[in-house]
Amino acid sequence: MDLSERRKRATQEATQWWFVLDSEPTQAERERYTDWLRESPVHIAEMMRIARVQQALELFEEWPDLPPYTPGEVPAAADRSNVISLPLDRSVSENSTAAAPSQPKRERSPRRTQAPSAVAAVLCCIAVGAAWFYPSYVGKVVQTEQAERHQLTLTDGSEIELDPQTRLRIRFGSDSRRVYLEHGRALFRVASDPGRPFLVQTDDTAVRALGTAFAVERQPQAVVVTVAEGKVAVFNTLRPQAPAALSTKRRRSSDEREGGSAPVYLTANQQLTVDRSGTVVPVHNIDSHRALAWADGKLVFQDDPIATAVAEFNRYNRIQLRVNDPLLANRPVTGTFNASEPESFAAFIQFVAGARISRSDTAVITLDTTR
Amino acid sequence: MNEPEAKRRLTDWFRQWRSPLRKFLKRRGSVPLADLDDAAQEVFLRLMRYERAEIVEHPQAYLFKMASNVAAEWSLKARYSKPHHSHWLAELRDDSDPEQAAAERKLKAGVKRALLSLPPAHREMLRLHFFEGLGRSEIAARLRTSERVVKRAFLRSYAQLREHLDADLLGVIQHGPE
Repeated sequence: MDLSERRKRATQEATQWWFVLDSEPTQAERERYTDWLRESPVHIAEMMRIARVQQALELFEEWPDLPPYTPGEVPAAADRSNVISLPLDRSVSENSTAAAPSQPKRERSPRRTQAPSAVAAVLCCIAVGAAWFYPSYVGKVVQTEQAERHQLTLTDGSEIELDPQTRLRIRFGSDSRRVYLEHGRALFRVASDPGRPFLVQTDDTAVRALGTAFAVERQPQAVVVTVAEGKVAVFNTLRPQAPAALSTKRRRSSDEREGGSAPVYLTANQQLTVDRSGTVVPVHNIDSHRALAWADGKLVFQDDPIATAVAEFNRYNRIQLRVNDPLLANRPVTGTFNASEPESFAAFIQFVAGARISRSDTAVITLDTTR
Repeated sequence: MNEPEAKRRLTDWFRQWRSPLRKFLKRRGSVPLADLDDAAQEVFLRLMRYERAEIVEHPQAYLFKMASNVAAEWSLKARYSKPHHSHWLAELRDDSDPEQAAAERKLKAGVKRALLSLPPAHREMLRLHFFEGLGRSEIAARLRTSERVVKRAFLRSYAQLREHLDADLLGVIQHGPE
């Protein structure tokens, strides 16, 4: 075998190993892989190149600029690109298949290969549909009470910051990482693992991410997705099999044909609100530092009524704030505060609004207007 | 004796084989690409020095840890032996370096060309995976095909991209007789 042929074979093998190792290889597989690595430096060089291909694909950002895909050409057919099709009529090809069972299957007539793949496609749809709803009933539950914040690191290295009064279920499988946000809000710093997309789901809205940081907040009437880093895709999951979209702006040929539309993509410093009916407020740009300050234990207010600010503080603390005077409650407040320091906030209100502070017991601070 | 403890931490660290991989890739961006085959030779020799059983535990972590070590050592050596080439060493520390950015742009343009050379269906599968974040079974469902077809498409695409990226970015690769 000449050198370039040998190198080509090494490329093939390296690619195959890359995918084997990407999904929890068995002991036997790891042994064979180790032996393969130790067979030749060419194998190592090829493995490094495949890693480079992986990196190039992860870094690539111009996917939307590529020519749109028209599904006229069936992937199964495209997969046979190196096969020369022979102008056999079907009866001949059926016969030849029967006569020579050891013949490579790629030479069978298209009809024979397409029927099983259609069945497989249907089965896949069912499987995906089932998997989609699965996490709402199973998985590890993590929740926080009022005044409790919680940070956890998942087995894949991803981190989640839970705001008070938040409940989520975590379910990691071999080809996906799913988190179901039941209520509250949380910030996700996702460790990149392209083989297992990271998915955060609320009722009808799912957010997918590769390596990125974003927050999902479940409000009574809406879901708010805020991206701090990287890129996420937001889907409407009412149709489980092909996550249908919220916005119709982008062209996504295969979906549109089925009456759905494409997901909405968000990048850093963008925020999207999806309300209960699935209506999307247009993506707007925000300062994610401000919008996600809560994840650092900060509360940011901008011309918000004191009543709103107080309600926020009360979610974060055992010490509760009360505002007795409705006029005071309606006054706007602007600033950044430590969520865990209601006393400082009370002192600030006392200072700027001339409010009177009283503590009836250790757990309640009452704000009132001075007479 | 806290050897078990140390060992456990080491295991944890190795389990995250992606972090050695990242390190390796980061350095790869800065070390002259033509050195890759020499680096592979060096990694090969080092792999032979380890117990097989040890590598088997976390082969990918070992591989990329060694590769990034080799790259790091070579960049140190290069600092002393080829001072006029040390400009790329600075890039090891500074990601925002304009040359690094230019290299990245070039890589992206290369990737785009390489992607355009793929069959559209294969390209679509890569897009669904890397842009929309779908797993293989989900891609199969979306495109109404089987997971096996998707898997084969990925294998082929990677091999094909490796050829194209080589031509674009690595030049012609010389494999000496080993």
